[in-house]
Amino acid sequence: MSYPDPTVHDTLPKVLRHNARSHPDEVALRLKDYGIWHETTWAQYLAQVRSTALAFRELGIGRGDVVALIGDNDVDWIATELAAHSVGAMTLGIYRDALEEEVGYLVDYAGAKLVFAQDQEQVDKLISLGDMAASVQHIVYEETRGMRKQTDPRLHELAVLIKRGEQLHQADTAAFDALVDATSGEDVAILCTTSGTTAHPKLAMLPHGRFIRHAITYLGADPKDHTDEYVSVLPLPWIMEQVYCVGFGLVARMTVNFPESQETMFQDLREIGPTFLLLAPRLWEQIAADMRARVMDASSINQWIFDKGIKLGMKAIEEGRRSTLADVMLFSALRDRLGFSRVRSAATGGSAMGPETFKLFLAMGVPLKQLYGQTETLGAYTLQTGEELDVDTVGPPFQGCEVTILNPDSEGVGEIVTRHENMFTGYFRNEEGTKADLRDGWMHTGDAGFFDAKGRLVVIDRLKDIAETASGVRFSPQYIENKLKFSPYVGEVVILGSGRDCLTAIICVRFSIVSKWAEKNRIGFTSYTGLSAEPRVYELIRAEVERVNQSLPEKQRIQRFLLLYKELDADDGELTRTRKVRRGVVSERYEQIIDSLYNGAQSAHLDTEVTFEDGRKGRVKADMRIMEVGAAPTSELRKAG
Amino acid sequence: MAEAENVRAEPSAQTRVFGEPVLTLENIELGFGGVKAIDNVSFEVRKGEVLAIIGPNGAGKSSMLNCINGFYKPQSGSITFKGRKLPAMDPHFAAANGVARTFQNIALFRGMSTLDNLMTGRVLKMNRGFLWQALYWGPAQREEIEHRAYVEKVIDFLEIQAIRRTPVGRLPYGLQKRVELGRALAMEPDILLLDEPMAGMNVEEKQDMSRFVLEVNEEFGTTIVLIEHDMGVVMDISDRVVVLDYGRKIADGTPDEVRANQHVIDAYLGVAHD
Amino acid sequence: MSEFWFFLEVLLSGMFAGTMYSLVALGFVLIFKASGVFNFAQGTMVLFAALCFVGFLEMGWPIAVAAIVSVAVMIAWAVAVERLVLRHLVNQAPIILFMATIGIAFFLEGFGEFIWGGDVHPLNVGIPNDAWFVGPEGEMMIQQFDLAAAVIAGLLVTVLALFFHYTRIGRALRAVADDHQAALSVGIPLNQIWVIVWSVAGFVALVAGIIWGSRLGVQFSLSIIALKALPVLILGGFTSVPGAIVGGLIIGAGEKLSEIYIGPFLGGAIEEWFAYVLAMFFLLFRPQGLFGERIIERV
Repeated sequence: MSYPDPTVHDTLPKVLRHNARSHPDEVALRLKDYGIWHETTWAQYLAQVRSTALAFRELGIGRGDVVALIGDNDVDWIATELAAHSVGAMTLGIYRDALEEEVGYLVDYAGAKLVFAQDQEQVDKLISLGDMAASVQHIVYEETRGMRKQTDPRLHELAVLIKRGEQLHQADTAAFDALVDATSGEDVAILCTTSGTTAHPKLAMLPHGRFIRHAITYLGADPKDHTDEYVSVLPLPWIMEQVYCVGFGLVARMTVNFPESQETMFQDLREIGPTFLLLAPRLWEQIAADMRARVMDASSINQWIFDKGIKLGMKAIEEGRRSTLADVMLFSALRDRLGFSRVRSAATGGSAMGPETFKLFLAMGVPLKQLYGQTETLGAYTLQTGEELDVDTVGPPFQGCEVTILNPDSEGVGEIVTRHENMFTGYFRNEEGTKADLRDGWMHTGDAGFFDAKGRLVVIDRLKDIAETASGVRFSPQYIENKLKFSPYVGEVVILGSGRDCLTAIICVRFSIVSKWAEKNRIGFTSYTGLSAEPRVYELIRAEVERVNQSLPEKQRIQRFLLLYKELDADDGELTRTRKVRRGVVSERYEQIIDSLYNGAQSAHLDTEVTFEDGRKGRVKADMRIMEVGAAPTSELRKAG
Repeated sequence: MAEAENVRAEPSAQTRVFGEPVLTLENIELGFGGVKAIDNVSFEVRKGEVLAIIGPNGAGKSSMLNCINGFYKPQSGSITFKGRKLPAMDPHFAAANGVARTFQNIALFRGMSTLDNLMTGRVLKMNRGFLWQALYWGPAQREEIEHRAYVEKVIDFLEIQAIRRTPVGRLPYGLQKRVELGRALAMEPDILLLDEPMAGMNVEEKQDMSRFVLEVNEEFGTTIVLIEHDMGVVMDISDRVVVLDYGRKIADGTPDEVRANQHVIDAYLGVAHD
Repeated sequence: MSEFWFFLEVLLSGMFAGTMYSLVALGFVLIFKASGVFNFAQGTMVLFAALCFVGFLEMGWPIAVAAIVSVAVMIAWAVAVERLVLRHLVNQAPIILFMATIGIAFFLEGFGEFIWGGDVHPLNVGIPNDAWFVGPEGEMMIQQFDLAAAVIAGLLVTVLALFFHYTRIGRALRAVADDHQAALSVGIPLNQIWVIVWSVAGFVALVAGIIWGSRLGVQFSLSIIALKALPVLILGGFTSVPGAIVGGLIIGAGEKLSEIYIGPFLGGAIEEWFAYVLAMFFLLFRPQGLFGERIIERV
């Protein structure tokens, strides 16, 4: 595999220009719109970047400026990103479902001069920020719909800018090349938000050269080329999506496909039949859960085939092989249905994943590998090799990446620290934060982990999230949560027990599945809250908790749980945008409930303030039953009741 | 109805100017057996406006829409449409001249996909004679592609890409309503009749629907006549309101005027508002 | 071994006979799907179409001309039905439309007799009528006529399926079948749709009539044999084209097999009532038929 020489093509625009010259007619990007896949060749890609860049320069965007981008993953997003890079600006991706105040904080903190906002929804956020976005001189929008009545003088339509840029190019055909030549590998290309599970995200500074070189390092462990098809579904502001869509796209000329919308993602994926795929554990789990849900609707013959096939396949995987019979009767059809027929490499990362789900996809013939990394380290620096069944580790480090365990305890568990040549150069405008995390060139991840006998890294949990009960039992809440979440009926779960006498759980049922189950069992309900309060749903979940308990050491078993009246929601700050549980927020907001779980009460009462989608606030009151799990839970309950 | 406020941004209803009447109903009378559903009602619909017809149940609102698109023939009175004065409309004539509608109890082609439902909205836009369709493959196919492109725009507009191929019978209620609006939009109507477009929807779905109605009106200049029970929505999105009660018109004016009208307060707002 | 071949022979000949039921049932399904009308006159239309065709042949016209003119007659018939009957019954209850089709059936039967007389007309359109013997020692007999009929029926069904699913008219037909009012509101011309559906049903009737007539002669009992389509519909579901096909095959094969294998124990003549008993069982256990739309209520 040969990749462009990173000493010559040391910035992203230079690599793009290189590709456009060497492979002008090869398809670089694909976007589904109005039901049709539209292709963009390298030459067209470059042309759009060129026009946009020249127009940006005319707007006064240049070296050291910050360009923020917010919207759905699409061609315009990354072309605009590269245009900003071409004029020497830094880019800052903002999650598209970020609330106004989050957008305001980031735009203001970074001092963004130009914001690319995809549609009216995003533009409205910016405009209503008012003084909070004082640094913003230009707002560029892609979709004209609903924009007619906007009169803000900072607004520009992207298509108009591109036309203007074409004129500028006609007037001076050497201008763009001069701009690109002026970019330097040392320049910061991307300000990438860290996925802070607390407070505001920090902005890691990622220079061009390091970004490109680390992509090549990664490609050494998992090679890609122009025949690879990738479907971009995770948010572009996230480091791994940047590494793949921008990094691999440019360096390996992997074709990047953008789905039509979030909702059509799985259909579009099927149409493309990607060879490479990265989904968050949550998405893999959702696919597995949806599959099971569909089977519940299927005929009894199909259900039988499904159960048998899964059993055969899982057994084979555990023995280190794949079952041909299971493949013929079930998995080849499943792969086809899900669009995984051509997958050569698939990855998961960002958070831990249930081992059962992991094995399921391996059994299906999807070569799923866990990866591990941080924003600060330019994403992944360990990846499973796929040589043997491995559900526990995240694999060995890449060539040239050093990983050590700091202050290991008797079992070798300590903080994971890492170092390689191409890490971030610090946090933007945050010396203090940089000093705290980057000491002597080592990135302190804050994760707890250890190396196994084969030199593979095992990540347990956030260091600060390794919990200890009052009696000194150490446990990882996340590990237990993941076990529970493999149940199709469980959507989210928070395990509690730190400093308490035992473990308990707050569980959110998975509405899509449990509602179907309820319909099938003729249980009436009107809402999520109603469903969660249903005694038979409690029984259903208790069976799941008991199943998980059996696989846990006795002292780490869940003693009590309750079903939360609502789903945990990123908009309420209970989850991060990548859908990790924010324990701080949860334990603060649901303090009343948690106390009830430990003071012997039979139900928990909640009275709290909530923020609705449109920003209004209101009060919510709810009562939830607490259910005991254990040796003889039912008699216990009867006594109590 | 705070949740629906601010859906309409500038310019406000007061500053909007409307053109000629596109539809004038004069002294419409309609009865079934002994019951008078509509009793001597006259009003006009002006180009580009959003007109709401409100009134308690049984006030004759749906009958009024049915007269406009020709499902019902009034016993007396006249309808002036596009400069032609007619004693009654005919459904085919109405559809062919740019009147599209949705129904109170969703009337979709349940066995067909979203896409096929929307394509039926293009029936009258297709030039090839209806009977000859099956025989002319070439031109018919080209035509099909053209119309598909338009339908895709509607799909994009209503954000229903994900359900393009789903049989509509399987969709949840709110989405079915949206598909039904889509079928009407596929007709590229001049006048859009919406019979309780937000009935049975939750707050979020109502907001979406309000947004779509306003955007249709603003982006395509489509005249909209709607029946709606949610007074918050009505007052918020309509330019003018006609109030019916027991088949008679008791008020006609801007939302503010109607809100202040004593007849309306007596007959409607105080009594049947849920 | 020859037992097996004999079984196969009975099964196949039953299925071939079944394709005939399928064809008649198909006419029912088409009209029912597109207009919700249960067309009692479909059997009579088979008879009438065959009578016209054989009548034209007897007047010395070539087969092709007779066929084309017969098609034209069936289209004219469809137009007449729409103009004189259906148009005036828009939005009436299904039972009223059903009654109307009974009236149409009686009228058509009388009208046919008035024009073409009440005799049996032999019909030969050149479908081969020899037998093939298959199997290692020629144990199994296959009537070429049966096979040809099956092929024709298969072709017809394929064409209709394509027509329904891939043409604009097909889409409009399905739309009308789903919801009359909605179809009207988008400007689908209901009257034209009815004419088309009845014409297609007339065409299907003509094909069925020609094949049946070739075998049994064109005679008035055809309209009664056509009643066999009823159990076929119950089996297959009133709205399903594949249902009509499979239903026909099952009834055809079931009849013959039960006649041969169960008949002797019950004193024979099972063939006459087997289909109806089977249909009754279906009504009890699966009223929507094998392929009928499952009735899903959404709250």
